[in-house]
Amino acid sequence: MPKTIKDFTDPTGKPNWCPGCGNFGIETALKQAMVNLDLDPNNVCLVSGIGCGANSPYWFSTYGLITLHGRPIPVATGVKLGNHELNVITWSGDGDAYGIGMGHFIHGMRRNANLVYIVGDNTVYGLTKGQASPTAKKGTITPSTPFGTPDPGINPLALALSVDCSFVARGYAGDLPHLTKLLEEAIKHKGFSFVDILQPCVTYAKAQSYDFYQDKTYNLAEFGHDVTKKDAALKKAFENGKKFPIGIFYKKDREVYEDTQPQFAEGPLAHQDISNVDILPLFEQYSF
Amino acid sequence: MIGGTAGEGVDLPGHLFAKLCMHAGLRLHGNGEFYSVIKGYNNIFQIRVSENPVHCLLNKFDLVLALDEETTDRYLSDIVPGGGVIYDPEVAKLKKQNDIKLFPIPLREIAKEKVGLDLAKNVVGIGAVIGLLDYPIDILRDLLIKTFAKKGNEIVDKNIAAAQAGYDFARQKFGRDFNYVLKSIADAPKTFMANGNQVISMGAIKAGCKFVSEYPMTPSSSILHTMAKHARDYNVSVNHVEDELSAINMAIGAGFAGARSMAATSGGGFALMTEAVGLAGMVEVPVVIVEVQRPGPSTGLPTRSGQGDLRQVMHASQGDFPKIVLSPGNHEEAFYMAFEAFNLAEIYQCPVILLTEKYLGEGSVNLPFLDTSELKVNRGKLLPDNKIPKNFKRFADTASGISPRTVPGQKRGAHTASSYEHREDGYFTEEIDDCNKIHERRMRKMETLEHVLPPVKLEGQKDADVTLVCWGATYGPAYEAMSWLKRNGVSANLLHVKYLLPLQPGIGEVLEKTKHPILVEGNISAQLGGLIAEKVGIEIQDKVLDYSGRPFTPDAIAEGVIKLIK
Repeated sequence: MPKTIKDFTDPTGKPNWCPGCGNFGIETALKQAMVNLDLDPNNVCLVSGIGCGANSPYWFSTYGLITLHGRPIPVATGVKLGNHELNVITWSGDGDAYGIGMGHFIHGMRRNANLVYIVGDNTVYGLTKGQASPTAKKGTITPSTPFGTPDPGINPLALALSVDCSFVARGYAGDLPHLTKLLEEAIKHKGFSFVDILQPCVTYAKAQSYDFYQDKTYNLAEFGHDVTKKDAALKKAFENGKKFPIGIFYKKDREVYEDTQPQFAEGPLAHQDISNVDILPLFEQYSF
Repeated sequence: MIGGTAGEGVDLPGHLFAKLCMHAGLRLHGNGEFYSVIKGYNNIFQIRVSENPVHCLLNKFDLVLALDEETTDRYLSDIVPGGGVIYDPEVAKLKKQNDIKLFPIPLREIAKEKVGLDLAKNVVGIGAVIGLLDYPIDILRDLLIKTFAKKGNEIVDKNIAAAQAGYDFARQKFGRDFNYVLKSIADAPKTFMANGNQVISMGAIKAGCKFVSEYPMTPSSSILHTMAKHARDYNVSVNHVEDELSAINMAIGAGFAGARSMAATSGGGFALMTEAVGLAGMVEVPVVIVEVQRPGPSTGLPTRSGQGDLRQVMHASQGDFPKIVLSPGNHEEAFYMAFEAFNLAEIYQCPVILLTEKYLGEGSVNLPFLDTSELKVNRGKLLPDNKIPKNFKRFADTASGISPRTVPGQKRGAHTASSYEHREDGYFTEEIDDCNKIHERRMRKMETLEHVLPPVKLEGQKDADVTLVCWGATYGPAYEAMSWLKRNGVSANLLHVKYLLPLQPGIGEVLEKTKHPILVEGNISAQLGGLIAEKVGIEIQDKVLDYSGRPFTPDAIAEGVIKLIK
């Protein structure tokens, strides 16, 4: 029997996000992508950090791991390397990914383990009540920056392209059919699939509302964008502001991290027999 | 002892000499003392050998090979009567000594003449050592072939020529003028030589460690190097990652996935890992962390040894959660404890910290091949696929505090493990009853463990004038200090605490019966002493503390104790 969204939903509780939160869109699109790809919920591990979106694993029937602020990438990488047959999907916010976890973000892309990295990007720290995030525009007034943020916002897509991330994409939480398809592509891609998602925060970032994004987003695929061309992708990444292109910016076949270690060839590390490891050869090697 | 300026290579002759002693069937203990620089400054490598197991090093030397002037300046007075020093008259001018023998050998000149390379003076030196000690040069030749085979015939030949020239010079000039000989012991058991970090790596491999993520930090890095070296032979994924935050979090991820995992570091790196130690405690994921101590605070003394991090690892991370801290006394124990750490981590589903120090980690010994027949991997309550009940609750309340566990991929086992407080089914909660219940259940794991820990053992004679109380690798020097004290008319026994968290049982019972307990610790605040006072209610007044960064020696401990009892 074909699966439905219900198969990926944990019925214990319902999401506690604000009504209208962009996270609902991401949650639904992610579940629908899992349905469309016919994934086995037991074989999916959803790893998150800290932030509003980070609570998502509670509402999935998959395995879930809610970690620390900024650390979902290393934890997710560990899960993937511990059992590389799992579908590992990582869900961060912009504070998690581009603030406290920026180092892991860059190294995660360099490393190119085969996992998905979703970043709900709403330009604010929602869970701590609306302070500016690293993607907030210079001058944004928030409780922590009453005179406007002194720092310019960072450009996550351009950054990803600069470290040769093998899958660079942007989605929009208000366009579910497009986001669903995009997440399917991200899950299917072999490598570190980075998807930045424009996500309205209806409570704290009223300037970046659905209205704001609705007319400014456009689908790259409909404008003949070539996903294999990095310079074209970079140009699009810097188009922020007046318009927000969405879709796959750049995609490349790159050796995945797991393939650099033959240790994985004998099946997942977690399944390898450890009951009686013979270390006599080691003692021999360290003798005269 | 071999001394020279950093960059001159005191490691190589040290290693060669150690291997020759091993070949002769002797037991040894070796350790380097280095400045935290790559070139310049005086470095030494000490080796102590005996027919019996060697527990520690001494600060007295029988034979010194001095490659630079500073070595003779600093250490000439530490040579025992009847001992000797090999030095290059070009770099050091020594006056005739009454009770030690001088062996001036133009090390550099010979090196230059025989192999055209000044740097080969260390190999010339080791050849001279072998000549003075009357050991067959063929063995050194074989060893040089083995050591340099990968670098090609030319390098092998040059090193052999250098060693032979040093040997010949010493034989011709000094003959049998030295009182010591290196003799082979017949039927000595076969041994292997490793430092503490290597022994711990072997224990981890034996325990089925499948995943290592680490960021280099002295003096723990050789765990990363050793695991990486053997990674492909034993199917271990070994990863040099971007920082310690990544290292520990990755190891936790792998642990959650069901692979036995480890991260190793020193005090500063551990400080960075601290938050994630709490994560492992909260989501109840097994992970092993090795903390090889060097003296702090901050960067401290990067290449030296100390025991100042006991409180740091014990109290790592906010809140109360189960965490196990154990610390081995010597290399053999380090192997078995590393193995045990992985079992404890999976049985109690919590972070386990193996706390050692540079003295153990980078100090080398040779050991007879260790018996592994009794070592059994115990994965605790990890459920097999066919034992997962329909309404599986990952964080179920149990009498022992230990809940059944599943890993991703298992049917019916899916759950969310959260760093937020959660209920038995893993779902978040802030309800008072739920929070109290799970908090108490988690902490109950510590009680369960306390009940099965072996009590401390008093070593040495029953009724003694003093009882030395120590932990970690202070064990070796403290053990030998007992006989030094005895020679000085003081009887001593020894209490070595191996489990620090939870604190090993039986300490109170032992201390109540002792006449005069004296703490011996490598830190300034007597951290174990504080712990015993807190948990056992006995304040040990007298202390021999060393925070110089240099390892304890038995003579220094004995001296400290004698001062205290006079």
